[in-house]
Amino acid sequence: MKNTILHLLFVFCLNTVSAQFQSAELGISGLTCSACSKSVEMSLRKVSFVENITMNLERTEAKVIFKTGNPVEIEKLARAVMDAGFSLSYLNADFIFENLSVSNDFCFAYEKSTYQFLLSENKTLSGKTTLQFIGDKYLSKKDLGPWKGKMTTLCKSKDKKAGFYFITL
Amino acid sequence: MRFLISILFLTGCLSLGAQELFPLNEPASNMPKGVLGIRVLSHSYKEYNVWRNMTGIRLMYGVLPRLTVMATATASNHHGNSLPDNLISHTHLGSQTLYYVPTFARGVEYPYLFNGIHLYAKFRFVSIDGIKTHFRVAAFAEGSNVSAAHDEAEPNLMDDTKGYGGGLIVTYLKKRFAASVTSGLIIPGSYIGTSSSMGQPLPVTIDYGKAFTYNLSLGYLLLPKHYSSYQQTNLNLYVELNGKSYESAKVYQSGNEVAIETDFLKGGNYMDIHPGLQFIFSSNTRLDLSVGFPLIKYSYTHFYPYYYVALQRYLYAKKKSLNN
Repeated sequence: MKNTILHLLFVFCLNTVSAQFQSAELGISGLTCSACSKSVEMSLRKVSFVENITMNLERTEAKVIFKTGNPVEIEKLARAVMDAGFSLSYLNADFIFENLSVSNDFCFAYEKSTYQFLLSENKTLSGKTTLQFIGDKYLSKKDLGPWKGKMTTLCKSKDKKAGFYFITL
Repeated sequence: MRFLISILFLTGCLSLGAQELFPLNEPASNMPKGVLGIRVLSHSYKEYNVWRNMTGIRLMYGVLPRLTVMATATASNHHGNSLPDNLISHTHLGSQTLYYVPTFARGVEYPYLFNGIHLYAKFRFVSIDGIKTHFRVAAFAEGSNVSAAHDEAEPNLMDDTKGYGGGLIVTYLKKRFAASVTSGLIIPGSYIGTSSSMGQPLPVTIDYGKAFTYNLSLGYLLLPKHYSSYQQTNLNLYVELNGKSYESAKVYQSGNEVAIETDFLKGGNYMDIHPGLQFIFSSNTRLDLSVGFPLIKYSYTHFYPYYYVALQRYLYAKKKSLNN
């Protein structure tokens, strides 16, 4: 009952943010060869909102720059890496905030997606901020473990096409 | 054997990193989804004074991130249009006529013939990924419509016999080192044809032996020591151990089973060792070279050394300039 009330409160009071994602850093698990790395890059390049990619072959990381003005759906990046046959060890994305006070379970909407913070302390976000995505598509099983008990969905839209993400700082 | 031990020692000591793009065996990993690949491959060996060759062209496609399909069309000069003349001989014991298959000639020249199509599908159902490491398990199924005048018990779906098969692949990759075990069954079909005896074609059917395969592939990324660009040429070292146990064939003439007096058509087992090199140019064009030798017993379907060369490339649907 408590969760339902909280859920309704969050949905009605959802903060809409007009800024947008600029870039993301992806850690790719399971690959060691440049041919595999190239497959990941070619898969990421198919994503409509991706402007440019820089792969670090030695560290198996990808720096992805997004097109300005295009809606960013972070899940599509994870899907592209999986399509190439690999998985993510982390996904961190840079987002511009304008003096937004956030706390644990704070939700905001951006484009068609909703984002719910998992935080241990309150913070005020201003300027470029790196958001770490939490979920089985974005972290290894080992790294996801400590988060599992904290992931109570409070502000997910009923629209099945709308994205929902847990994030932290 | 000393070479194998050296490779194992090398990979154990220098495990800085690895490759699983084995020349002969498939890893448990898949092709990227939506990507088409093409491979031209060729197996050769010298059978007395005759060079035998099988050349194939393979199309590969990543249907799903976990599902890869392949179709390979092959042609070879391994077989004639019909079974060898006088495949079945006979002797008389009193008033009885005993039919049998004696040892027959090797090194006979045959024309190049289209063998058929071999289909293969691989589904990965376990993936445990880590930083520069993964453990994966896949199941595969294969089938072939090849119907060559194959005169040995051992079935080979790509170039000798029709039939189907399937099995499991378990692959472990850690930095520069990769190891993979492939094990499966081959259920071959029969060949229905003729063998001439004194100029008279007689109907002959051969039921080939079912086979159990067990292969171990080891790979090591030798160069580059450090990645800095997609343009660096990769050099990978491989050793593949390919083993097979197969049942005896059954040979029928005009519907009657005949005795088999030749080892070619009897059951057996063997394991070959195939050291190999692989060059990957521009992180895409792949050149595979390997040569096979008998390690435990030997196969009757090919001679040694058994050479393999292949060239492969992925055709990415959408091309944009790459940064590195």
